[in-house]
Amino acid sequence: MLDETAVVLRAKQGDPEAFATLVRRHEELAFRVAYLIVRDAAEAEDVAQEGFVRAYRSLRRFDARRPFRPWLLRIVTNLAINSRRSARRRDATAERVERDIRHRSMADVADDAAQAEEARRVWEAVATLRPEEQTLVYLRYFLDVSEAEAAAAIGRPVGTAKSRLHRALRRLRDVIQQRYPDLARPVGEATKTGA
Amino acid sequence: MRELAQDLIPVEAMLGRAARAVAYPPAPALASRVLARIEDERSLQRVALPVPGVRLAAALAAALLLAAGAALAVPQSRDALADFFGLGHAKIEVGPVLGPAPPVLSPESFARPATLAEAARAVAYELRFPMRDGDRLVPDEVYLQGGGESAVVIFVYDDFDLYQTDRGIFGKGAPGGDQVHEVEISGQRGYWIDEGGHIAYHFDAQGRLVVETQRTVDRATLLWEEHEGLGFRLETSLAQADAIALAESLR
Repeated sequence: MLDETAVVLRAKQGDPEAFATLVRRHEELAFRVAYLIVRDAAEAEDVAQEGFVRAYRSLRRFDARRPFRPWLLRIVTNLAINSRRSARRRDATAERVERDIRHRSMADVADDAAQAEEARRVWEAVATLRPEEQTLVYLRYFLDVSEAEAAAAIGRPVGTAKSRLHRALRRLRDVIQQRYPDLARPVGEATKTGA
Repeated sequence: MRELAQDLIPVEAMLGRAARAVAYPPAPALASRVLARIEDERSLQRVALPVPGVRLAAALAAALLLAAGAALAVPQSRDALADFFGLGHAKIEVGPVLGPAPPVLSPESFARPATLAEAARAVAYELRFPMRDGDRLVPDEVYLQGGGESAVVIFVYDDFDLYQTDRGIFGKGAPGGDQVHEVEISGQRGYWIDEGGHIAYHFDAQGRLVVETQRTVDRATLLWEEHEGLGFRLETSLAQADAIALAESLR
């Protein structure tokens, strides 16, 4: 694999194939983080594409000594959050999102219906967190992004990002306890009672 | 119903299971589409600027790009550019930056932590707060940058950082004029700068650049001022309409 700094430098100099290399290298992660936030495949595709276009527009200002991926993640997550907040999209797709969450995104892959139900509810609970908290949770727990990269993606020092993630988990526990008390029971008990 | 103590809810294990259960749709192959978009935009810039319907900001940017280009890298030449996209408390300069971009910094890197009471004592005006449902939104963190008449108070919230000053001047360097949009906030002119790689800096009340405040901002920025002469900058991940609503809520 080519050294990423060299690829970024070539892209900054206007080499389209170099930028295409960066797109191919990061498109899956960009799409996935967008999907986790907007919860709609078509919308996530648009967001990821727009994120790369905006990254290209800003590339000449990007310091190639910095890692490209967290910078890109920041652009994409901001776009995804803005997209989700759009009243137009919210109104138009609320029903579809709910259907996606219930019937496609999780139940198809989880062997156990109770596990799928738990996953669906946890994902819904994450969606109630503040945007920055959601981004941190998705990057760290769903996409295995490092602490340093997640912090860079939200534009905060690592220490601040850690404290905000800690606060996010505390809020998540609150939400689960209040909305899904059966999930808060000891492992095994929740699945017996079901949803 | 028996309830677990909040701390005993195994939320990290739950997240792990939820993460494994997500069925991601296949990631699209974006490279060719992204390159096509970029080429389309290049073609439009070559052929169609300015044209009817192009935003005023973009047209101005095209006209002044050459003049502004070198200035972003040469602070002492900023005076010659006075108020390109200007407000009383803000100068927005459009053009490429020479040399490495400054780092992305959070307020704790260039300002000192303060309490609300300290911030209130440091300025000669009544601090403004965003409101929600009639309640003042109390910031998570408060910082003071600079001192005296050009002090800047920074309120940090989850979704935005709010800067306010009565004598200082906010500077912004935007790489492209199409990032800058004129907006209206409570009847006052303001500017919205799309997210992505613009530079923020700060001038003191005498118009001198405060070098240590230069930093790259990846979030969108809203700049505006109010009748009483206060200047504001909002750096945010909010959508433009939400940011303007927040700005208009300041009391």
